[in-house]
Amino acid sequence: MNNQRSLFFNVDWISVSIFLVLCTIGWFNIHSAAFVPGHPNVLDIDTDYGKQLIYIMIAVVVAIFILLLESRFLTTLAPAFYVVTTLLLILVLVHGRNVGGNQAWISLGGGFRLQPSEFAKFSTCLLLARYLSGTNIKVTELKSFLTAAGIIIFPMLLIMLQPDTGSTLVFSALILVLYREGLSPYFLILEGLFITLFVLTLKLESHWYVIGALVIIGAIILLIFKRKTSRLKRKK
Amino acid sequence: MNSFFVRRYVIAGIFITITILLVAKLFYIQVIDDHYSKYATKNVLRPIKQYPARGPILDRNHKVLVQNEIFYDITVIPKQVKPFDTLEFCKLLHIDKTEFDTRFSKAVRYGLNQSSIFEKQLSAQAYASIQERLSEFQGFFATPRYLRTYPDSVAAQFLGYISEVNDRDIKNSGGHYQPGDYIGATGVEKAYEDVLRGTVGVKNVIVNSHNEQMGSYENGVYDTAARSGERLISSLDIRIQKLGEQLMQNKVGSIVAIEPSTGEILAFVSSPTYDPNLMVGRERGNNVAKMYKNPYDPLLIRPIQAYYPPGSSFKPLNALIALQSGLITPQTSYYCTGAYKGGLPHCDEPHGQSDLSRAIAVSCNTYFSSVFEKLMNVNGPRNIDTTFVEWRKKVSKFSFGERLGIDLPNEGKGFMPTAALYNKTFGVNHWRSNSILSLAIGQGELEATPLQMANIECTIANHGFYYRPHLIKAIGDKKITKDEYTQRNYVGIDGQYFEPVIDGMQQVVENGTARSSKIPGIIMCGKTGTAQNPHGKNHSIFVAFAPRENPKIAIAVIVENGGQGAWYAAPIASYIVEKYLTDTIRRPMDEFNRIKDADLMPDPTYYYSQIKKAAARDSIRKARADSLRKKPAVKSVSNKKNNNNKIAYSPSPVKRRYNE
Repeated sequence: MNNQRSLFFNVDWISVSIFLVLCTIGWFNIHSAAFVPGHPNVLDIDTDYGKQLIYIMIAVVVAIFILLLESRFLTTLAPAFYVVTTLLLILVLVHGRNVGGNQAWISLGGGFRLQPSEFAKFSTCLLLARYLSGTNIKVTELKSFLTAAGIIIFPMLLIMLQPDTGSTLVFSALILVLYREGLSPYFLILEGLFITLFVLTLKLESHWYVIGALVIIGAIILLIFKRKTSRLKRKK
Repeated sequence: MNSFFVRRYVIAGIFITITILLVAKLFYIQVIDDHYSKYATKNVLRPIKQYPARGPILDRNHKVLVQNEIFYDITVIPKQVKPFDTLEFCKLLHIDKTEFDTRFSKAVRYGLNQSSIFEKQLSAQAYASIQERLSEFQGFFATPRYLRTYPDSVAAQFLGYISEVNDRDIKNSGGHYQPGDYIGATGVEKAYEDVLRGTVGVKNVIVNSHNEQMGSYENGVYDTAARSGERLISSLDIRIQKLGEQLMQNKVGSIVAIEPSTGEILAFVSSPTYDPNLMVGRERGNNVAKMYKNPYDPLLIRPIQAYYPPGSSFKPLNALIALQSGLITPQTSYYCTGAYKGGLPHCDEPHGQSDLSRAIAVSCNTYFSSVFEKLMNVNGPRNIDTTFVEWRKKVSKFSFGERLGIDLPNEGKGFMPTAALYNKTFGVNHWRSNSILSLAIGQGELEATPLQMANIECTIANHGFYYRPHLIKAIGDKKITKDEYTQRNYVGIDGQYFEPVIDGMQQVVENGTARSSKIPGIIMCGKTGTAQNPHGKNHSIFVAFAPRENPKIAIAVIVENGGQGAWYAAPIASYIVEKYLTDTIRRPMDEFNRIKDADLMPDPTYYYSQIKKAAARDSIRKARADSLRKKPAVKSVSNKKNNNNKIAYSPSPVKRRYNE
């Protein structure tokens, strides 16, 4: 692989273009929703949509820098990032600002505020990726599984203390990564069941239907699981 | 890369499934479900009400009683205002700079993009001077508005007035009214609200998120035009209505005139009256407050709400009942020594021997006391309560003590005593004909509204029946032909018995008590009444119909504290009859002016305190009657009005006190 030939040879251009398209759609939406008469220009920086453009441009510059970084740099620093964000998550519980019932913000002065849970998502991904890409790491083994789960669950617990359930739930998407690396599909099915339960409690008046449905589904899964394990045993 | 490589397809499948679910939901919301599109449309559509012109009301000869005049509201949308010459603008509107500033800041507070009223109800003349220059002042607009105007300022209590709807009206209307709408509050305006109001139109306008109007919706396909209210042709004759109000000025009382052959009301005077134009426009609130403070209560609709003892005008009724029962004949005569059986009631002078007609002509109390005694003792003096009940039934046929069902709200019943009341007052079997002798001459507990008195004259003029009095002839171009207005209501007296009574009533005017009110060339049959009352001086009462053959008008005139019937009520009635039948007054004008200019207003504090006392006594009587009959009692005593006749938004603590 010749890295000198093209700086962005390994870049996933589809993801990048989706990101840019979403940014543009969001920008237009802000223009129509927060339109200020007398400042019709999208580029007018006195308005929300003008500011949004500045944010987008800053983000693009930052993204280019990150792309320019040697990937080994990120791999090496992943534990450091993880430790720093974890410290921030602890700090926010002590020194945080309470906004809307969540103690999720660290005030930086000058009107700027930091939300450590956003960084935690990113650093958790990094550390998890580094851990899983290590040799001899198999999620099917208990020790590896527990370590991977620990990496994910530790920041989740800290965020739950804020309490910011929304951000916590985002971490549950990482189950897909573990699944891809060999986690038992029953975890995925279990998560699917929890989602179904959640939606049904919102939609249905009587919770007994929901509970009943869940019991039946659970029984079926248990049955399949037992048959599968017994078949495996017979093979052995 | 490991053995779980295929699992990437499972993960991709999960994402694809979720995406499909989201797209499906979006498709449902945007294409199939119209809930949100409706919601969004509602957000941008402003239905603007187009107010219809309220129907005008005309008199029987199509002269305008009330119509709509165009007025202009000056509205302002602060956002659109460009710098302009403020002083010049103030000069045009006749306001000063500080007033301008307060109004403008109020408009700004209401909303920069909202249209708010800056100046209310400019007359067409006032607007004409502004109209040309209004374009110089951007952001200011003129909105036309229709308001009630009364060109002749007559018949205020008859026409009634309109006022803004109150919460109860809105709730009861089933969505027909909204805050700020107007509704008929009294009189014809209330009774015929359904036809007068017309239909409100709607203009749909699109607005943006700042409430700025962006033009009409779908080129006005869904707009509906306002439909004006119907034109009402009333039965009133503005000529005699005006004359009546003129003659009744500075007097308290009432005039009701009815056309006997139809039951149509020709005049409906309530005095003191007010200029109905005061109920319209910017000064309305102040004017209403003033009216509430007026001790004579100009808002009282005296023709149907004031109760008066009919006095001697009641005598023909007793005569008719006695004739029908065969107790007397027209030739029956009694000798009057000046007082009945040497006691009460006495006559002003000894009348000597009189037959029925002469007794009516001279209004002989002795004669009618004798007749009444005969009526009451027909079953023996001990059975007076049953006799009285029968007599009462016969009198009630003439609508005494009952509503006539005129097409106006809040009609009073009058008061007709019951046997139970006398049993309570005197004790069972402890009353005789002379206990209630005052009923013979229309005094005592008996009380009637001027409308009821006029209706009795209609009945006499028609020889035994009346049509239900009403005051609207036609709605739009459609003549009203309700059965209830064309149906004869018989009172149970045969036609032949009316002639001797009418003879007597003709003599009243020819050479009897009202001879000074004779109209040259017209035979008027009438009866004077001088009603004693607890409010001081006697009420002057005159009831009549004319001409004798083929009667065209029946009338009742009551002048409170006017003394004898012949002094004021009879001449006033004669002028109105003359005017109605010949369209002129040929008799000397100085006599006319003397009547017109006479000031008979009772002492206000006295009048006021008497009303209060009457109300107190009335509530006692009411309570008593309630306990007797378990039914809302008949109200009594001269001045009285229904609570629901009050203007909703303008409470008057002073007035409420004697309002039971």
